Amino acid sequence: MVLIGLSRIRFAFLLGGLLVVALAVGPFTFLSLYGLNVIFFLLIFASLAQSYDIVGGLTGYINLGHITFFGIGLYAFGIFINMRIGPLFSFMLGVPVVALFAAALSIPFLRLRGFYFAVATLALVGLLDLAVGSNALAPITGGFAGIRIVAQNNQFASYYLALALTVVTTLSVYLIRTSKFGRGLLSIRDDEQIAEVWGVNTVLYKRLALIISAIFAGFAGEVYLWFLTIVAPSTVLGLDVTFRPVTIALLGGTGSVIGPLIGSLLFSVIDQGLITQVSYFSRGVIGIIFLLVGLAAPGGVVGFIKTQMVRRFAISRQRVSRVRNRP
Amino acid sequence: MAAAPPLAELVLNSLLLGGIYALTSLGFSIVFRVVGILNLAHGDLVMVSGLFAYLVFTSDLMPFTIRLLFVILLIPLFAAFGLAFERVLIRPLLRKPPNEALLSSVLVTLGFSLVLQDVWANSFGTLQKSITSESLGLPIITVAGLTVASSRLLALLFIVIASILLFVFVRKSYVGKAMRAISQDREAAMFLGVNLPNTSMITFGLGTSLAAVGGILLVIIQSVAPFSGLPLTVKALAVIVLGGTGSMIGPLIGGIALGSAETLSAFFIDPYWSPGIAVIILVAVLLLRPTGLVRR
Repeated sequence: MVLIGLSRIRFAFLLGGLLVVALAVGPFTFLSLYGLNVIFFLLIFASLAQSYDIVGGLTGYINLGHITFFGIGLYAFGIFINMRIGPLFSFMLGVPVVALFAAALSIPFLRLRGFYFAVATLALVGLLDLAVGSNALAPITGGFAGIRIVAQNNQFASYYLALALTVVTTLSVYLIRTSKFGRGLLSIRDDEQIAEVWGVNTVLYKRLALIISAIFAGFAGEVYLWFLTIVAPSTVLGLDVTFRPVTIALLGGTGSVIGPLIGSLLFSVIDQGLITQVSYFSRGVIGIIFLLVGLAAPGGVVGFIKTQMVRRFAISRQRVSRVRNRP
Repeated sequence: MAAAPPLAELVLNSLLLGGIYALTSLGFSIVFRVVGILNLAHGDLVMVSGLFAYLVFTSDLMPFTIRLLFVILLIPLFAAFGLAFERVLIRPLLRKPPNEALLSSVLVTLGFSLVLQDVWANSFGTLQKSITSESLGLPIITVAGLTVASSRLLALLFIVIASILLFVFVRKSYVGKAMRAISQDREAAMFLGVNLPNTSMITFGLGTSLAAVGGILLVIIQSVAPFSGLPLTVKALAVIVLGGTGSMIGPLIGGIALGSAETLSAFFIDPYWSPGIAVIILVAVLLLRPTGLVRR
C-alpha cells in the first residue's frame, strides 16, 4: 500500500473497484454458468452478512433471526410478482414491507438485551417458518412446498442486482461507520447506559439500525427468489440458513467493513469444498466454526490478522527502541 | 387413553409437560443467574439425555428395575459432564471483557449445540424417539375413572421428587446458599468468601443434570429428536421471561403456564401451531410487561 503511494482507504477502494469490474465483466468472459451460480450465492450471502453486521457488529446486538428479514423480503416479492404487477414494482413494494416488519419487530424485541435478544430473534425464525408453511397461508405462500414465481430467465439480471446490492450495502456500512449515526451505534455497543447518558438517542438509533439492516437483507431475499424462481421455506428459514449470515460475519470479522466480505469468500470455499463432500455434517461444520471463533478469535479472520500485525509492529518498535537505548 | 374424560386428561398432560418445562427452565435459569451466560446447548443436552434414556429403556438385556437404575445414573453422569464443560469451554470465556464474553459464549454454546445435533442425526437417525408404557412393560391403570399409563404417573412422581430435592438443595446446602448469594450480589458474595469459580462450575453441573432429568421425562411423556433442542431452549427462555429468574417459583409457574398453553392450544385450535406458542407468549409478555425483563 505504502509502496504505490496510496492511503489504506484509497487502496481498499481501488482494489474493491477492480474486483467489481472483474465481477461485472465476468459473465461475458471467464465465468461459467456454475461459476455464476457460486458467485451469485457468494454475493447474496456477502450482502446478508454485511447487513447483519449493522446490528450485530456496529450495535453489538446479536441478531440470530436476521434471516427473517430475508424471508419476509423474499415472500413479499414472490406474492407481489404473482399478483402480476411486474418485477420492478414488486422489487419496490417489497422493501417497505420489510421495513415495516422490522419497525414493528423493534418495539418488543429491542427491549431485550444481550442473550435475551439473541434467543428471542432466533425464536422468531421458527414462528415465521410455521406461518409461511401453514395451510392457512398456503394459497399465497405455497405452503411448505415453497413459493414459486414464473421463470423468465432472470439469472443475468439478478446476478447484476446481487452485485449492485453487495456494493451498495458495503458502501452504506462504510458511510454509516464514519457518520455520527455510526459512532452512536458503536457507543451503544460499548456501553449502552453511558451512551444514553451522553445524549445518544439509543432507542431511535437501535431501531434505525435494525430497519436499515432489514431493508438490505429483504432486498437480498427478493433477488434470491428472482434468481431461483422457486424457494421452499426450509431452505430459507431452516436452522442451517438462519446461522449463515452470523457465521459469515463472525468468520470474517464482525464490526469491520471488510470482515463480512472476507467471511463470505471463506465460507463459500468451505461450502463448496467441504460441505459438498460431507453434506451430512454441514451443521456440525458451522458448529465447529462457531466454537473455534468463539474460543480463539472473536474478531474473526480480520481481527486475528489485526492483532498479529499489532503484535509484530509492537515487537519491531520495541527492538528499535532497544537499539536506540543501547549505550 | 381414549376413554379418559378430556378435561382430566388435558389437566394431567398440561401438568406433565409443564413440569418438564419447569425443570428444564430452572436449570437454564440458575446457570444464567450464577454463571452469567445462557447455555444455548441446554435444549440439546435435554434431547441427548432423552436419547440415552431411550437407548437404555429399549434394550432388552436387563430387567426393568436395573434399566431404571441405569437411566437414573444418567443424572450424575450429566452433572459430571456439565462440570467438565464449564471448566474447559466456559471458564476461559468469562475472563474476557463483557461484550466479547457475550458473543463468545453465544458462539461456543450454539456451536456445541449444532455439533451435537449433527453427531446425533448421523449416528441414530433423525426420527423421533419415544417410549410407550407397553414397551416398558408397565401396566395401564385406572384411577378414579381416569385411565392412565403408569409410566406417566411415574413421570409425575419423578417431577415432584426432583423439584423437592432441588428446592432443598438450593435452600439448605452450602453450595445452594452460595448460588443464591451470587445471584443476589456477585461482588458482595465474593467479598464474603464465596468461591465464585467453583460455585459456577457446580451450578453448571446442576444445570446439565436438570437437563438430564428433563430429557428422561420428555422421552417418556412426548418424544425426543435431534433437531428439537434449539426450539426447547427457546421455550426455556420464554418460560423464564414469563416467570422471571428471581425465584425458583417463577420458572415453575412459567413452565406450567407454557405447558398448559401448548396442550390446550393443540387440543382446541391445531397442534400445528403449538411450537409457535412459546414465541407468541414471549412477544406478548414483552409488549405488555417489559419492565423487569431487562437484566444486565
